[in-house]
Parts: sequence; structure tokens; C-alpha cells
Amino acid sequence: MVDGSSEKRLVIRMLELWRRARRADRLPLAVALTASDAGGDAASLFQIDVLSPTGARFTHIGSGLHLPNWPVKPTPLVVECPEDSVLSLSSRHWREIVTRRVPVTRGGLSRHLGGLVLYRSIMMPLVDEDGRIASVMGASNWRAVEEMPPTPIE
Amino acid sequence: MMIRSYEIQRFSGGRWVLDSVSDDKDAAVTVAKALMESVRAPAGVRVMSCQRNDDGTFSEFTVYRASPIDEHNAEATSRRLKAEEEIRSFREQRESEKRADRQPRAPKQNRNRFKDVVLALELSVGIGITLAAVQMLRIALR
Repeated sequence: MVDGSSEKRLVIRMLELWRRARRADRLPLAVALTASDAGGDAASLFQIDVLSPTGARFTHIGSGLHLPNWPVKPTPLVVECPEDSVLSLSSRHWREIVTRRVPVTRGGLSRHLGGLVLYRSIMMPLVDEDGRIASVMGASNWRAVEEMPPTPIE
Repeated sequence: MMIRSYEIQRFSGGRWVLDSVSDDKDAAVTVAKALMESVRAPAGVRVMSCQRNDDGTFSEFTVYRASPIDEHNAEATSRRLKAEEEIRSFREQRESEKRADRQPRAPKQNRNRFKDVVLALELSVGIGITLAAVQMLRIALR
């Protein structure tokens, strides 16, 4: 999906977007930052409503993160996301962002739809008028990594 | 299980404030550098490696640090090294010029010394002759 070293560049762009939306040292308002603000990166973006009474759920999943036959409904729960995907890897630790109240980036080698990939992701906290973390905005990208056949043991 | 993360911290309002967190050192340093180059760059930035061990202990150390003061110091050190290099090369050049000047002069000094000896001899011979002549004149006048 991405070329070479662009994994980190997406993270840097998202952080820059998030920092621009900050008000002095306060966290950005959820209503002030939407996927459309990300321009060309919107396809790599997802957003999670963490205050939903039925559990944290995606309110936006960029077209680049869609999986075959998923999502089947507009706002699926985060726990419903297929595990064998970069979206699941990137979003499943959303509680850490709520606890720490700062952006967190994660990445590494993992599996996406059966293939080995090198991915990098970021999640950033957004607050409501009361200062509560209301939403988490995330982004991720990845590239396929060639799998080496296992070395036979002599 | 040991858990390690990298905290990107910015120096703001006279203290270090947590800016973001990464699970990868390179990514953390990249984020820190980008933060320093951003429009609202802080007074300083650092990346701390934070490790929580199996026994519950916690350790942290700095893996990257940057601030305008650091950059200024690095620039000053570079300027000082350059100046020292220029002085050294100037001294070497001056020494080599001195050596080159000294070599042809050495025989000249010997020649001068020889001339002085000859002159002294000539003077003493002259004085001797004069004294002898005065003595002979005195004897003749008696």
C-alpha cells in the first residue's frame, strides 16, 4: 500500500495536523478535527467514539483501511474488527490513548489478511467541551514484506 | 515481561512535558526532530527510553536530546575546532618558512665569524706595529 519510508511520514503529518488543532496546551476538540482535514491522508484515517454507551466504535474508516466484506454496518464496534488486519492492530490499544492523553505510535512486523507486513500507526486523543477524551483519531499504513522460507535444520 | 516504550518530551514552561509515545526508538527520534522543526517548536525536546521490568522496577534514560542551545553549542564547537585548525596550519607554515630561512643563513654566520677573527688579527697586528714604531722612535730620540 505504501512505498518505502512513507510509514513514518504519515505519522509525522498526522501529528502536525493534531498539533495545529491544539488550543495552547489543551487537547484539540473532537468537533474541530475531522477526517476531511487530513486531505490526501483521509483514506488512511479512522476515528473511534470512545464514549459510546455500547462500547468504543468506529465512526470513520478510510477507504484504504476497508477489509473484504467488512465493515458491514456504518459504525462497527472496535472489538468486531477482524484481528488479522492492520486496522485491528492500530486501533485495539485505544484505551492507552484515553489513559495517557497523548498521541501514541505503534508499528512493526505483523500479519494483514494473511500476508506479512511492516506497518506504522498513530492514535491521537480528541476532547469534548468538558475536556473528556471523546474521540480517538488514528491513521495507519503498511507495506508488504517478502517472507523468507524457514532455514532447514541440519 | 519487560515493557519498553519511548517517550517524546518537550521543554515547555520550564519543565519537561510528555508530548507523545512510541514503541520504536527510530520513530520516536523522527517525531522529536519533526517537533523541533515545526512552526511551534518548543525550547527543547528529548526522547526517553522507559522500561518497566518484571520485578516492577522502572528505569529510564535519555536516547536523544535537542535544543537551540545544543545546536548553538555544536556550532560554537565547530567554529572553535575550525579556528584551531587554521592556527595550527598557520603555525606549521610559519615554522616551515623559518626552517627554510635558517638553512642558507648557517654558512653565512660562519663566514661572518671568520671575518671577525681576521679583523681582530689585523687590528692586533696593526696595534703591534704601531706600538713597535712608537718604541723605536722613542729610542731614536734619546
